[in-house]
Amino acid sequence: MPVSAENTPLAEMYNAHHGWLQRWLQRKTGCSWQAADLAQDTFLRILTSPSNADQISKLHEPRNFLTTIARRVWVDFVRRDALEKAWLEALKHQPEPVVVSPEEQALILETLFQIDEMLEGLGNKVSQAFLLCHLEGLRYAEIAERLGVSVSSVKKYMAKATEHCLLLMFEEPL
Amino acid sequence: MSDTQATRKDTLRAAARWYALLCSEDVTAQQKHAHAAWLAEDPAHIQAWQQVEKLRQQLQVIPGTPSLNALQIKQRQSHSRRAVLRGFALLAAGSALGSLAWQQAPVESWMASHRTARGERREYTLADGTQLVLNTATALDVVETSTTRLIRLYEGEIFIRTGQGAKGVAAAKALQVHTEQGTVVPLGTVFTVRKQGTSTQVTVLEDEVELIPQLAGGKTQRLVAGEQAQMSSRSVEVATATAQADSWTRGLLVAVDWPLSRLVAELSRYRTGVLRCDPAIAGLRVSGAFPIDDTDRALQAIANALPISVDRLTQYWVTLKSSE
Repeated sequence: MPVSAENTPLAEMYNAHHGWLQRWLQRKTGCSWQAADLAQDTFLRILTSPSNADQISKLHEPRNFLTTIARRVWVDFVRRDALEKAWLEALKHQPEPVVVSPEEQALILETLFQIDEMLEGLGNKVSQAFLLCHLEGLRYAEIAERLGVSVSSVKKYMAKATEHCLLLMFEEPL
Repeated sequence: MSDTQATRKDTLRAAARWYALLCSEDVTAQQKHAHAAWLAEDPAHIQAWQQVEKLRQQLQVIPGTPSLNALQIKQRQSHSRRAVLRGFALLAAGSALGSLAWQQAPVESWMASHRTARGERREYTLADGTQLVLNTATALDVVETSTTRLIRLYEGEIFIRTGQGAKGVAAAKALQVHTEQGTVVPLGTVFTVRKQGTSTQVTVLEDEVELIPQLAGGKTQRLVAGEQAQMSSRSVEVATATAQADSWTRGLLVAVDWPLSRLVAELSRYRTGVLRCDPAIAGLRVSGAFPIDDTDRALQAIANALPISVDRLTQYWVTLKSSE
């Protein structure tokens, strides 16, 4: 992405509030290193999101805006961390060792993160049906048996989960 | 929301229903035919179907069973995660979370973008010409922001020769090395950084670096060529640099009047398994240049020079003992 940060509203915002945001995050997290990362990621997220970037020049309370974005960045951080741990845990229980390069690992975790994010808010059975179909390749009848529901319910769950994901992709392109 | 957006959403909903139908093992030829007809009806239908394909492809690039298990484990734990999030608003400075960040280090180092195995050495050149050499068992990430190039060292040892700044924009970025204990800011330099348990050792070979311990309230310590420092998260202790501190970049470990126990500890970094020496001979003094790419040869060299023998229970359990 071409980034010329000179004299843009974002650059002004960065100069005016970056130090403050980092101190705010440090108070919240108790860790200066993590605060530095989160502050950096917060500005990066604003920079890479056109809808956020547009808002900057119209803001009356830039610090409220920043802390809102920073909270989201933190929530994602915690979610990523939980997924990484879950992935390592899952690998431990594989009957055959799974060997992945660091690059593949990063790609897998990013994908898991996106899937987890997309499926959040769906009912447990809906997301389970979707995952069992795609990741385990189970037939609807098998999924129905596992979840203790009818085959027609599985079909409804699949439609619902797919619709949910498509609408999210539409609103926030991957 | 505009009408067109509402229409597009309706189309996506229809595509989702088609998809759920086609994934079923009971899908009939007639239904497949009807789907093809639906696609042909309107370019918008094809567009929506491409989104379905995109979603499906995304789910195909990851290994199925472990991914499913990981997502299931994560979902079971999401309850405790929510508890953490609620706690976020209440956390005060100096809370336990500060150390939490580094308790995650094993995960981070496992995930790190640059790493070497035990006994391995690897060299990289960063975009600004900075030369980076990773010693044995090292893990780090290189994080680029618009202003900084950050090297996060999780474990091991690195050698850095900073770039000359000849490549325009990239060279304008400030290089920093972060460890658990603090930050190392080079001032146009050659230096090494090594993680040693709860401290970070920095050795300056040319010019200067600045050390900023994590919890020293912003206090810094300047280090010049020929100096070596142990940085904890609160303070810095400066001493004279070990001779030939960068000799490992040339495949050598240089000892100058070291106790044998120190040489053994250093050599063991490059080997898999246990290498130790009998306390009775730990204090023997030894000097020399030892090959780190062939530690068996190094052990033989030591055995030739000192009254010791190399006792190999297995290749992975080696003890140096007195031969007298």
